[in-house]
Amino acid sequence: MSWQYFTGIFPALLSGTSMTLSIFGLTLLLALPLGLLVSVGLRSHFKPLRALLDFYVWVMRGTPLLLQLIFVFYGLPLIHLVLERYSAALFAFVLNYATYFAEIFRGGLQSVDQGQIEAAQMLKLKPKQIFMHIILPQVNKKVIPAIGNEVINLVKDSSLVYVIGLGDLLRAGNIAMARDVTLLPLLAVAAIYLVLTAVLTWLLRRAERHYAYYE
Amino acid sequence: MLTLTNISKQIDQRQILKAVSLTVKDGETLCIVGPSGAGKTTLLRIITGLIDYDQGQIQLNQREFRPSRDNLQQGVIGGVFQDFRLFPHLTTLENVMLAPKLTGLLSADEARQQATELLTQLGLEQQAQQYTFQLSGGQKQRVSIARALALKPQILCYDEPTSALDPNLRDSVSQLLLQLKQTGMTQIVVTHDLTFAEQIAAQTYHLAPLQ
Repeated sequence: MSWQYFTGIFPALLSGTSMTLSIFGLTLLLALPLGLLVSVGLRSHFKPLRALLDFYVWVMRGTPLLLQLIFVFYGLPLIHLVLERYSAALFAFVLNYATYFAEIFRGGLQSVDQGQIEAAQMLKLKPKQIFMHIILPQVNKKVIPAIGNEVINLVKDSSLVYVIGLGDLLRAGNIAMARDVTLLPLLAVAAIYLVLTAVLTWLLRRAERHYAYYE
Repeated sequence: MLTLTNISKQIDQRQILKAVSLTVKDGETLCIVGPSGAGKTTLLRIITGLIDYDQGQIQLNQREFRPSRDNLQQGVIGGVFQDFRLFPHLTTLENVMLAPKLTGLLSADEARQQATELLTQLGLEQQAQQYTFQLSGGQKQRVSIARALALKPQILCYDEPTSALDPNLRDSVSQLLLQLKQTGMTQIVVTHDLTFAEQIAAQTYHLAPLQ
């Protein structure tokens, strides 16, 4: 009975998985560069910008992502900013995760020796070249383990989109569980999450190894 | 010819340099000697443009030259740091070819060829593909010199070139500096090592600590 049951709910779970992966992938794609930009801004000498970004990071890290999702989808329309469900979810996820990435990148940027920057200045490199060719490669090596943690969290956090009615993997499992009065769909959901995180862990290890060629 | 006239510098309201005047002629090696805290490194940082001076004037070939503005654009004065400051994520070859390539001085192929030649001249051809953590202190220093030479500077500055090395490497550093002198390179060397200064210098400038 079980095997047939699993094949029966599989299309629904697959559709939920594609939503989970879509939120995960796009959030990562947008939040990583945004986080990097924010981290650079957090080190700016322009105080108002720093204060603004500090406030942004404080708010996004200081309140639950679930609350932010609800606020973006149900709250923003009150000021005539209406986003459809998927865009609202993506908006909240990107804004939220960018702050965590920003803090990680900020730590990474701080750890690059000022002497490296002076050496690059003496070699006539321009600030943008110094950032791209000297600072960023060294930051990447340092931040990958911490970024990896957030990446794994993001896969699981993506299940929060149920709160604004999006059909992700966990929601697909919940629907099947309620309809068929069995915990089996949740076992399948757990297995799929485990496979996803196993693949990501493998990819992250590869990324770490990629930067392991120097000390 | 580089001329410093009455250069003064305060850092955190402490006077580090007061009315320092000196001249380095083309092809000459000048040693700036003095005890710790005399401001030798500060003076070198001013000459290379990493920091600005408060008062005085600097001239390069009889024309006004503000290193903090002009040198970071033109790269006429190169520098070798006491702790080398090589880029750890790049190979030895990449360290040497990076600046000429990125600044547009040379094409990527030309920069690679020049870097290979410089490393060969400095006896580092075997280390071209190694990363800096695989090099000895003396090798790191030579890579650092090659990296500075790659931008074809008129003047090359060294901050305490012997202090991070084993004492028995002092002679090889002085040999290298004498070798560069023969190519016509103008050199400014900050050191507290008087024996080393005697080995390499035609001219010595004593910097005394301020009271």
